[in-house]
Amino acid sequence: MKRFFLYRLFTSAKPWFIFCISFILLYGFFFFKKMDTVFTPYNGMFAFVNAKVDKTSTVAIKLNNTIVPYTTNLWWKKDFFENAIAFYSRFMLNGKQVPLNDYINQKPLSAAQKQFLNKRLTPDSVAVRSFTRRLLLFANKKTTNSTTLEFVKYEFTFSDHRLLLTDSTSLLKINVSNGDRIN
Amino acid sequence: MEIALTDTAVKARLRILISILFIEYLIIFFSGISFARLSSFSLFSIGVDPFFWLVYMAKIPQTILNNTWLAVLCDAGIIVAFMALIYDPLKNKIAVLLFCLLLVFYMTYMGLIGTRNYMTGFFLVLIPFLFRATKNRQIAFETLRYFLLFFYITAAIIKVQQSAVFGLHYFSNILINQLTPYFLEHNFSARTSVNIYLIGHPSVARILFLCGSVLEFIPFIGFFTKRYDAQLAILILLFHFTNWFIMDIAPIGQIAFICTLFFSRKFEWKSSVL
Repeated sequence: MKRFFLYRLFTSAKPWFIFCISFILLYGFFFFKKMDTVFTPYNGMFAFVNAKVDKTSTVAIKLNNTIVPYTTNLWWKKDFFENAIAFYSRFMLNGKQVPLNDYINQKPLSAAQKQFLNKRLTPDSVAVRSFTRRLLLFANKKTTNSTTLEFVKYEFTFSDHRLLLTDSTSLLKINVSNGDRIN
Repeated sequence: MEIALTDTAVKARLRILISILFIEYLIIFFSGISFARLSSFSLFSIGVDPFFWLVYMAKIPQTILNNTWLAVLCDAGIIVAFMALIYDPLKNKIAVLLFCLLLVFYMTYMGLIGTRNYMTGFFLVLIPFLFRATKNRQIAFETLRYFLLFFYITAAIIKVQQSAVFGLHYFSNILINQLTPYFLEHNFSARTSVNIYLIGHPSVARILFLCGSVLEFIPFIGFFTKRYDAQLAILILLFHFTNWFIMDIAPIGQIAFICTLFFSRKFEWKSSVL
């Protein structure tokens, strides 16, 4: 008993004991509120079972009909491209809204409170206009006033021990100079 | 009897820990991710998370990204703070500054990619350095150690609770999504070959997934003894580097945090109860 960390804290370092107990209780609260990723975003990763799948998809960007590659970058930058491209296409296809917009708007708050939270916690759709230009700059690609960037969803099917490209869909085209959607 | 953290040997170990974290930061920096390189990106998405809300409500990431000079200043601040902390790891004010900058950097990056990754160790590892008093620093190290163990054990427990470890096709289903951009870009390597093999052989993939879950659960031993902490650190690192190869999830940002286990007995808090 005397070797238990919490017991040692209780007898020798009361403020630390209170902190640790508060943390455990707070974590328990977040866990049961299904916000278990607050302190440990890892522990729910890859833990949820899906039905058997043989298809997958990815979103890529095409400049002058050529895919802009990013997988040769190191992890954090490659991760940035992979997530930001998919995230931007979802954002544009969802009426320039992020999931938090929906969350805030469905809460029983006053219009002023919702406006304040949306302004602070969600992106400004006007400022986002520069996203594609900035993304190409990040990929070391030059742009002109007529540059168009296409977001394409590619679908793969696993068959005969190979991953085969089976379909591609153009999600959106963006005029890079002003950030306007072309289709 | 308390171990005096001012001892040269202990200071050297603290320096090693900070240096590992600094190397991780430099890998991230030179790969192209820093405040300055991310400046002017204004599309972000944060979840329902009170900690992220506080930082974004204060407009800290938005202000840094909208002002390139401030972004450069923050990058420079991180590098200078790292060097100062390596020089004297007991300067807690520098540690506070570095902790805040790395926390904001993590939150900014996660906001921009619209998701969360597990590399919270990137800033958590600095928590013991925030304290000036030796006793508090030692208790913080020990608390952090238990959190690290908990961090991995719960991942295994949730996998068992959700029956993920029992499904034949479960890991194959995950793997089919992991390297898709590599196939699209025809960036083939041994990793893509292994990926294809495991998708096509779900029983082998399941054995690997079970091994991974066991590796995540093994830190449970650490709740009873510190004797095997070095071995636990090696096993966790092995788990992460295998993940990097198979699933393309790199542990850069988490390594220093895991390495605290190598030093846990040196920084141990010996309370008067013992």
